Amino acid sequence: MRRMTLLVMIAVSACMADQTSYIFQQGVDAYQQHDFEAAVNHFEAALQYGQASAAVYYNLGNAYYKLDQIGKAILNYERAKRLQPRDDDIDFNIKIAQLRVVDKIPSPEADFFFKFWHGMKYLLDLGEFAMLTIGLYILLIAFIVVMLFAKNRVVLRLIRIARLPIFLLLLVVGFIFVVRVHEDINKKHGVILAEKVSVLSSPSADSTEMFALHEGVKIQIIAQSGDFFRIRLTDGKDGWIPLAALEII
Amino acid sequence: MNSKIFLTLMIILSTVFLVWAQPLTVTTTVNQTQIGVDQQLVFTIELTGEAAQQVGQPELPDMQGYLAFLGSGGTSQNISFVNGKMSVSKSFSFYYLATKEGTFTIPAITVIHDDKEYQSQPIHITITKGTQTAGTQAQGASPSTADEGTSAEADDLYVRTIVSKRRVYQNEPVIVTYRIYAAVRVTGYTITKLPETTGFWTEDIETPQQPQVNNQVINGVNYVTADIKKVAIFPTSAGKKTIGPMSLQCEVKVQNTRRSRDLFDSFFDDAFFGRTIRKSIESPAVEIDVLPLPAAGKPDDFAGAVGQYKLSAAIDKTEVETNEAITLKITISGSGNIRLLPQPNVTIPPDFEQYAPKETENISRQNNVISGSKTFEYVLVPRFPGVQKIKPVTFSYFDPRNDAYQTLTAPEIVINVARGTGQFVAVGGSGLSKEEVKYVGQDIRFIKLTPGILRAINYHIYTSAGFLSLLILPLFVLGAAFIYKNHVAKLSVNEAYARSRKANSMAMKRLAKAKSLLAETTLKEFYAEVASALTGFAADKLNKPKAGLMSDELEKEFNKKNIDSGLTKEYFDLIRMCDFQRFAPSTVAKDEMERSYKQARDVIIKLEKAL
Repeated sequence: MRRMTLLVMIAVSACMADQTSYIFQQGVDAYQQHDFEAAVNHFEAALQYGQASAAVYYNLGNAYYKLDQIGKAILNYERAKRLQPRDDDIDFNIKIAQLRVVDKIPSPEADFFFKFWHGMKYLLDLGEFAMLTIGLYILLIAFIVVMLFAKNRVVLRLIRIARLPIFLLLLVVGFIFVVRVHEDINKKHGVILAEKVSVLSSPSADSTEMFALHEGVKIQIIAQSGDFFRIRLTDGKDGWIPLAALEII
Repeated sequence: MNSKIFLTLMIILSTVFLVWAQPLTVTTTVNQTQIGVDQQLVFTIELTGEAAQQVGQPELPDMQGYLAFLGSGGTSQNISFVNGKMSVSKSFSFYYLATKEGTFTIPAITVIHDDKEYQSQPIHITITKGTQTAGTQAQGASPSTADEGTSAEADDLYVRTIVSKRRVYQNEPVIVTYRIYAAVRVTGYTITKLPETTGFWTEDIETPQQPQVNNQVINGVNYVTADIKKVAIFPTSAGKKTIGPMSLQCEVKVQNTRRSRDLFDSFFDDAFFGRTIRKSIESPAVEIDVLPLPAAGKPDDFAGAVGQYKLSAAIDKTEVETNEAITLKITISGSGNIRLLPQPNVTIPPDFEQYAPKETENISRQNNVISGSKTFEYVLVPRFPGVQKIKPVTFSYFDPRNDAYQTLTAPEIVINVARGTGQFVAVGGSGLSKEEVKYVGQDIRFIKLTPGILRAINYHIYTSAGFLSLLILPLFVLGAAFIYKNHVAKLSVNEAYARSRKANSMAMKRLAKAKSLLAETTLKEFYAEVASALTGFAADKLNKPKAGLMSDELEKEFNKKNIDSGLTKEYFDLIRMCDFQRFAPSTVAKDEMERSYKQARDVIIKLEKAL
């Protein structure tokens, strides 16, 4: 009985993947015929089956860009980037789309240490860090098991040389992986979709406006209170904006 | 033709008069008594009289450093008869270069002939600091080609190329004047070919629309002169350079009827009797010796500027906010090749965003000098707050007047940068950063044609079953490995443990053997095996020698281990039964044997649990 359920589940998910691919292809066709509205509908529909890939988000972003919906374009590019952080096309299109964003928010100049840490942290994507961590972990356990039973001196010596570097590497990679997982769970970013939104000093509609943001700006969400998000910009400014003004990546 | 007739007449007349020896006279002449420094002077010694033929080249006077000897211009000899007297004249000409300014007297020279001294008159000359109009170093007339008629003779009309200097440094200006000499009436001219000046950078010098006309008498002929073109040329490399010829076409009024070279003809020409012909003339080519700039003392930042300059540097604001543009203006003014002035040496701190400088020139071409100023405007955008210093701007040039390099330095500029607003404001208000500018005008890249790997939208690798199982499974493997290792270690170290572990399997082996003997014919062997299995098992478990294991000893051990008395009884009853069957001459049914076998097995299993 249980086996049956599993089979059904696999069959259903395979069927869903087929559905997603089919609708995806329809979206591609519409885009190629410059029917960007239809393309948007198809790509959005493809996501309704609970399956996604970087390509779906990227194409959706492109279709929105062609319809001059820069906020949604950037939102979908950023979603694509989350799944595939080192894709050249995604990065390029984000830059193009950002030209159309009114606000230019400078990133503060980072010091060497921060840059180094940042570089290490985003050297690989989350999945790759997971696999690397698991790989090193299994290797290390394999070393221990072999050391318990092996009698070949050469093998034992090799393991003795390799175990400490592998262990240290596992510590570093594992630490970064844990940090990344923590970030993935806790650090939320959003993109402003409203054409213009006032950033308020407190989470109520009658509080003072500090500055304004425009469609397409990527912000970090640091808290939520009622109908307001507390957001922070890369240059350190923060404030409250209504939930409806943005969408979480 | 005229002179031949004249000569013949003279010869006839000379026969009439008595011929007598004329005393020797020495005259010295210069072509001009007022010259400028660096200009040439022609000094001529003329010896007249019968004795002149026998006199060699006289000794040259001491010029006392005012004039430097350049070379000999050659000798000419002329024999003529005047009033029946034969006159012999011999002239030597020498070229000198005026080297320093002042008034100077060329001393008289003395020629000794037949023990008699003949002296010339001293000549006073004035050497001035250099004149604007240059001397007559270069002259010449090209053969004229008249379109029609031959009335305009070759010497009537020519162009000279007059250069201010013949030896200059690279990039030092030479003023070239094209001066027309006309003994005929010129009503107009057009320049048909400009001089070729390969290897020079040329700047025109302004000349009046209507050239200034002067009169000059040369060799007894009155010429009208006019400077028709003036250029400043800057040799771009060292070596011998040639200024090519310039071609002119002049409209000349000539008279058809008279073939006279009367001085007055060209000036009192009557338009009614003359007609206009076109005449092409060409200026001679002039060679200039260009010296390379000296290597000694060349400053590091020297970039080829020659002349006399001044440097100034100024900034429009010294108190600014970040991201606010300021302009650094550097001006070099003076005389020289302004247009080709190199950029001064400016070091902009890296905290400034810097744009290519805007260059503006202001050139004056008057008074035979190319002068003016060149301004470099640098737009700078400070990106970070603080006190920023622009190091002193330097500019080096070579001054040909004193043959030395000069370095000019403008004072250091200090700018106070305050923190401005966070918004990024680029110059020109485009609002784009430098990095962004390169994306302007580009379209987004095309979509992906395949969906790639599809995953559930809420998929996270760190919660996926695969990841978690890979994280946990190795731990089980590791635990199992440790347990197994521990077991192997115990086996090898502890014989009692080993025997105890093996007891069960040994007993089972014996029972299996017994089972094979389960037949009435092998009854004794069957019971022997069962007994052996039972006693062997207990011996192994308790690590006792199997031989000589007494039942009462075993019973004690069983009691120590708190074994159920029923089980103990069962065990010993079974052994006793086995012994009985082995030695009693009775027979037992096969079922009975089978029951004993099962019983033995159960006892062993129970004991295994208990021990």
